[in-house]
Amino acid sequence: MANKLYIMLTAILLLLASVSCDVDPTGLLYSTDPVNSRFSESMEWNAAHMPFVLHCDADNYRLMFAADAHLGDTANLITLLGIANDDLPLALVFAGDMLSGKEADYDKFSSILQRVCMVPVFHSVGNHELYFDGWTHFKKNFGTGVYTIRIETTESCDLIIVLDSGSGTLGNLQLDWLSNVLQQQRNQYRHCIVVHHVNFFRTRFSTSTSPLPVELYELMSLFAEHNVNMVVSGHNHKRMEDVLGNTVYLCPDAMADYNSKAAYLLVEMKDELGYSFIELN
Amino acid sequence: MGALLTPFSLYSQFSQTNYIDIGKNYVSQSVFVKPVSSSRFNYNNFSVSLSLEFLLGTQTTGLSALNAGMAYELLLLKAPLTLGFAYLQSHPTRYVNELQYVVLMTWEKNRWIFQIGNNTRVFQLSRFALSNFSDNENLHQKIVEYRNLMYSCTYLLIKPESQWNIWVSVRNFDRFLIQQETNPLPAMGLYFDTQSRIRLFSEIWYQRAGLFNIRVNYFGVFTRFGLIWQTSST
Repeated sequence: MANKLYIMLTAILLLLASVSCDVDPTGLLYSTDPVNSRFSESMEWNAAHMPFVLHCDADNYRLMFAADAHLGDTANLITLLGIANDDLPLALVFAGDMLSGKEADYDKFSSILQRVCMVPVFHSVGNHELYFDGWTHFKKNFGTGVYTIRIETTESCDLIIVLDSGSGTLGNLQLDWLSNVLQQQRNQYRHCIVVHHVNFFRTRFSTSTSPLPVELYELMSLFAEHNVNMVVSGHNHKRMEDVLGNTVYLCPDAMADYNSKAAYLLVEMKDELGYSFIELN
Repeated sequence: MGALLTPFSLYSQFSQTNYIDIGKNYVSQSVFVKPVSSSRFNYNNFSVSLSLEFLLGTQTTGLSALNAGMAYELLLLKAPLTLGFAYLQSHPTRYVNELQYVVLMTWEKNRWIFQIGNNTRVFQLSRFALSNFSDNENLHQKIVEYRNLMYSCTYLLIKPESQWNIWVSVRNFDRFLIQQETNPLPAMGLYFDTQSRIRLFSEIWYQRAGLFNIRVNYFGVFTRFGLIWQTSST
C-alpha cells in the first residue's frame, strides 16, 4: 500500500513538473536530440551560410556576455538590452539558458531582440534551450549552435568560438572540430574566447552539472596548448572566476529576474584582455 | 569494486587484484585498454593498498594513474564499517595532472554496501605545460575543488556467502575515476569464487552526461575483466 502511494506521488510530481514548470522531466531518461546530431545539423547550417564576421574600425572594442535569463520574465533582459544599446559593444553573446525551450518563449525572445536590440547578438545552447523539443525552435530562430565569429579590427583579428554543451558534454564530433579549429586557426588571431553553457569547475558548492572529468582534462589541455585567453560559461547562476595557465574561466551571475545580483560580463578587447562583472541593479 | 567485495576472509594478509578495463568514450577517440594492478596488505584491522593503472592503445602509453590508500575496519550494528583515506594521482594529458585526496566510509550490511565520502580534486598544469609558460611569473598553476561528495549504493542479488553473485550499483566513483556528485555512474557486475582462493569477476560501467541538467546524453561505456588472488589468513 505504501509503495503504491509513493509511486502515485512520484507520478503526480513528475506530471506537475512537466506541465507547470520550465523543466522537461523526459530529459532524465532520454534525449531526442543527442549532442552529435545537433553538432552535425549545426555544421550543415554553417556550410550553407556565410561565416560570421564582424568589423571594427578601431583596434580596441568591447564585448558583452550574459547567461541564464530563463524567460518567461523579461525585465532583466530588457534592462540588459537597453544597456547594450547605450554602450554599443561590438556584440552581445549569450552563454545559454536564456529561455525555457518552449516555442512561445523562443518567439517572445526573438521578438524582443528584434524590437529592442541594436547590437549583433549571438547565442549558445544551454540545457534549458533544449527542453520541450527546444532544439527544433533553436534551429528555426538562430540556425546553428556551434560556430566561430571572426572579428576584424584595424590591426588584428580575434576569434570567438561558440560551443554546444547543453547536454553536459561536447560529444566526440564537436571535440574533434574544436581541436581542428584551434590547431589550424588559433595562431592567426590575437585573442581567442570560447563561449559555451556548462561551467567547468566546482570551486565552491554547486548543484549544477559540469562535464565529466575525462572531458575536462581534454578541454583544459586544448585551451592551455592553444593559448585560449578566456572561456565564458553560464549554468552555475553565481559568479565564478578561475584561472589555469593563461586561460581565465568566467561565469556571470544569472540574468533571471529572480536573481537580485543579476549581472553581465563586459570584456575589453585590447592587447591585454580586461573584464569586469557589472550588476544590473 | 573488486577490492570492495572482499572475498573469503576479512583478516587475510595479502591480496592481489589484476584486471583490465576495455572501453570507449567521447574523448578516447578509439577503444582504450587499461590494465590495473592492485596490492593490499592487511594487519589486524588495518590495511594499506597500492594500485597502478596503465593506459595502452592511445596516443599516451604507460602508467596513467596511481592510488595509494589506507583503511581501518570496525563494527557498526554488527556489520563491518571501514574508514579509508586515499591519494590519487593521474596524468590524463600532456598538459594536465590531477591529484585527489579521498576520505571514504564503507558499510556492508547483508546484501547492501553503502559508501560515502569526500574528495578534494586538484587540476594542475604538468611540467611540460609549465615549460611552455615559463615567461609568466604570475602563472596560475592549479585549480582546487575542495568538496565533492562521493557516494555508492550497491546491492547483491544473491546472499553474500554464496560462491557467486551479481551486483548492481549507482555511484560516482571507481578506483581511479571520481566523477562530480552530479554525474552518477550506473554499473553492474558478477563474480565467482573458485576453490583455489581466486575470485574471477566481470563488470560493465555506463557513463552518461547531463543527468542533473535533465538532459541526458551517452558519454561512454567500459567493461572490466579480472581476478583477485588472496593468501590464507594468519
